[in-house]
Amino acid sequence: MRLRQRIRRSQLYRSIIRHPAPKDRRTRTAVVLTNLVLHLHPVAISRHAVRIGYTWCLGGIAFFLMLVETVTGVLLMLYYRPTATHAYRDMLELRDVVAFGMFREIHRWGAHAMVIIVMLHMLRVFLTGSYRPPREFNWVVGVLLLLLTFFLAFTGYLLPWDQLSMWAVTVGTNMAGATPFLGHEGPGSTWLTAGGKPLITPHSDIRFLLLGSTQVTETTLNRFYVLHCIALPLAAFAFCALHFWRVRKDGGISGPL
Amino acid sequence: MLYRLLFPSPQPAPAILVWIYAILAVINAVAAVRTGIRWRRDAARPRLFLVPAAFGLYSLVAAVVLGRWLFTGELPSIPKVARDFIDSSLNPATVCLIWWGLLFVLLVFRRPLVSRMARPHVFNLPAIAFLVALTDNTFASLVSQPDHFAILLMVAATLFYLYAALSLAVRNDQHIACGQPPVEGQHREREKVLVWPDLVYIELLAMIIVTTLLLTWSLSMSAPLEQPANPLHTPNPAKAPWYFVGLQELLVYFDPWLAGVVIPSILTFGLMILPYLDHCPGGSGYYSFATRPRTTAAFLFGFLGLWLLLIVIGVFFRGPNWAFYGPFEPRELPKVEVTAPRPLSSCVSGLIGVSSPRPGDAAVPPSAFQVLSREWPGLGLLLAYFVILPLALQRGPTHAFRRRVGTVRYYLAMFLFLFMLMIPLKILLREIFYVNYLVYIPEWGWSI
Ligand code: HEM
Repeated sequence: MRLRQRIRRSQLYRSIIRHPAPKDRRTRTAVVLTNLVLHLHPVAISRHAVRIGYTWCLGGIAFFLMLVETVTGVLLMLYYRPTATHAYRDMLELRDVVAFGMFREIHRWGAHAMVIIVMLHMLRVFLTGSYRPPREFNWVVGVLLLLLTFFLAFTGYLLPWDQLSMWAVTVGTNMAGATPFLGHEGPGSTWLTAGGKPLITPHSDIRFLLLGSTQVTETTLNRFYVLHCIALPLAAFAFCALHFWRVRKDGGISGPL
Repeated sequence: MLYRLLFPSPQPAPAILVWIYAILAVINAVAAVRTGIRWRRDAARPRLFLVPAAFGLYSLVAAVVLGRWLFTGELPSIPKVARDFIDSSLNPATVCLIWWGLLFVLLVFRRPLVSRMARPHVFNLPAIAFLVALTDNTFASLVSQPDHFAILLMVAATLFYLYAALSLAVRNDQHIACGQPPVEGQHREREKVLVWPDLVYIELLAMIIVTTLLLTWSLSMSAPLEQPANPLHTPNPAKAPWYFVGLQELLVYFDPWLAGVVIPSILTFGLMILPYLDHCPGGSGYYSFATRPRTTAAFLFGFLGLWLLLIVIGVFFRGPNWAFYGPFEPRELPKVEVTAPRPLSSCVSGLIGVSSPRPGDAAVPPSAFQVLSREWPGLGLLLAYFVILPLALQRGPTHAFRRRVGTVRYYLAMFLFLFMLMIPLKILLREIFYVNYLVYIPEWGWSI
């Protein structure tokens, strides 16, 4: 006890943690107000909203899984090189050589879990009618987050560079080639011409934009790597920030009027 | 004996099964005791005695299975005749109809189904059916592939959550029918509690549980890694990642421009503008079915009846050449399903005894008149479906809806709903009437 008090009173401790120990109503309020992470929350919240049977913690779990994916993803980036020569071998190395290479498993199953949990979170928001005014815009942000989750999972699927990933991405991106007007196999693409020449060819359509090539090649691997590790996570975190901000600004977790 | 229980027979599948049976026996026994105690207190409803009795019975069944396994080493399995019957009677149409039927039953009979009386059976019967099916090697290897486990998890989690949410909704609907606020709106529930400690401890607990589960999953299943990528060797079948397999399955029923691009785009757009279509304030913030039955039914049909179902069909029922296989049918023998285009126009002209004009050569673009005179049945049908049907409906069933939301919202909502409904209709049209195109214009590529 003595020791604990001395630590709490030390200059070092007080310079890091400003608030007093959360013991009574006042100090507990202070904790939530002064802590960076906790200040995402309001200080007080109605009782039904903390019931597990209301939100089932699904939004929070989705965010937690996103953090897990970030940490394990950074670990994977330490070992992984997105080139046709190295990608697959780095996977083998992670499996067979690297100590605690298990973070590849955590990353993969965590991604699956996140897709599932985000879909269930959407179902929960729908079933409690929480998309209705004043939360309609936050629902839109949510749908964007759902799409980002799918694209994050999809771009990550290519990175092991094995048969499974290459052909899954081939199947997925072939559909983009059938986009009306903008894909070279899509209806109406021959109607777009410039100076008598077709505008949309296998080398200039939307599928080429995705793949950087007419097939899934090393260029694609690089593109998906950049999307998966930089562009999409940044967007996802930005939209998450907006999402949480709006949950607060729309009056906290929904409840009956 | 104990040794055999801990390290059971050579094949790995039964070893896990035995453990699951044991867990099932324990869970049911605990539930029997708990509901039994509750029944003793609640003397006003003697019939509830059936609840602990049912749990006890399931516990006993699992125990008997375990006992029999100890002496004979056998677990209950489905007889070959039944498996063959299941395989031969399942096809895309029957799978869809059974699943939609189950959803319909769940929503319509939600009150008896979520009651305490039904609960033991709702949890145990699917579990036992699944365990019994798992003794089949084909089925077991199908569902135990690492990437497929996630899909099982998704189906189980979604169904569990749906059931739980429906129980809460039924309870709230009863409150509202009696003129009381829903549970979430009761006075005590509206009181404020402090985030520290009431919320942060729940969050901490959730994080610990999720971490534990994720670590267990990762320790017991290694991430798949197949042969190195080889552009010269196409696997058969080549499947998209599981969350997009539903769209790949749509390719059976629609051309790629619809299945891969237009349908997902329009439905995502519909999902986004949902709050602007169903925009009445109130009725939000609590589980309920009766206060918004139509929106809920439509959404659940889209979520479980289409999105989830198509993923399950694509992942578990499609084998080489994307042919349909029953759950116990080995994937080794490839089937080839040849489907010639059978557009509606040719069926109609056959019906009225006119020789059907065939689509022309792609090199010679047909005139719009030629296409129109050939494809009028399909185009007319689409026109009737998307334009005349909403107009006709607003005189009857959707009259009140239209008055409430106004013209623009009404037509947008009806278009999106009918567009979603086009998917099941097209599935049935193809599987039952063998018509795979409503409008067939291969010369231009705009076939529907
Ligand atoms: C990466 C994905 C997502 C994350 C991390 C996330 C996170 C959260 C969190 C933490 C909450 C607070 C309440 C709760 O835990 O349920 C919340 C609420 C909400 N979310 Fe999400 N969400 C995500 C995706 C979605 C999606 C896909 C939708 C809908 C399409 C959505 C719509 C909403 C709405 C409308 C609320 C307010 C609910 C209420 O007030 O009851 N979110 N989200």
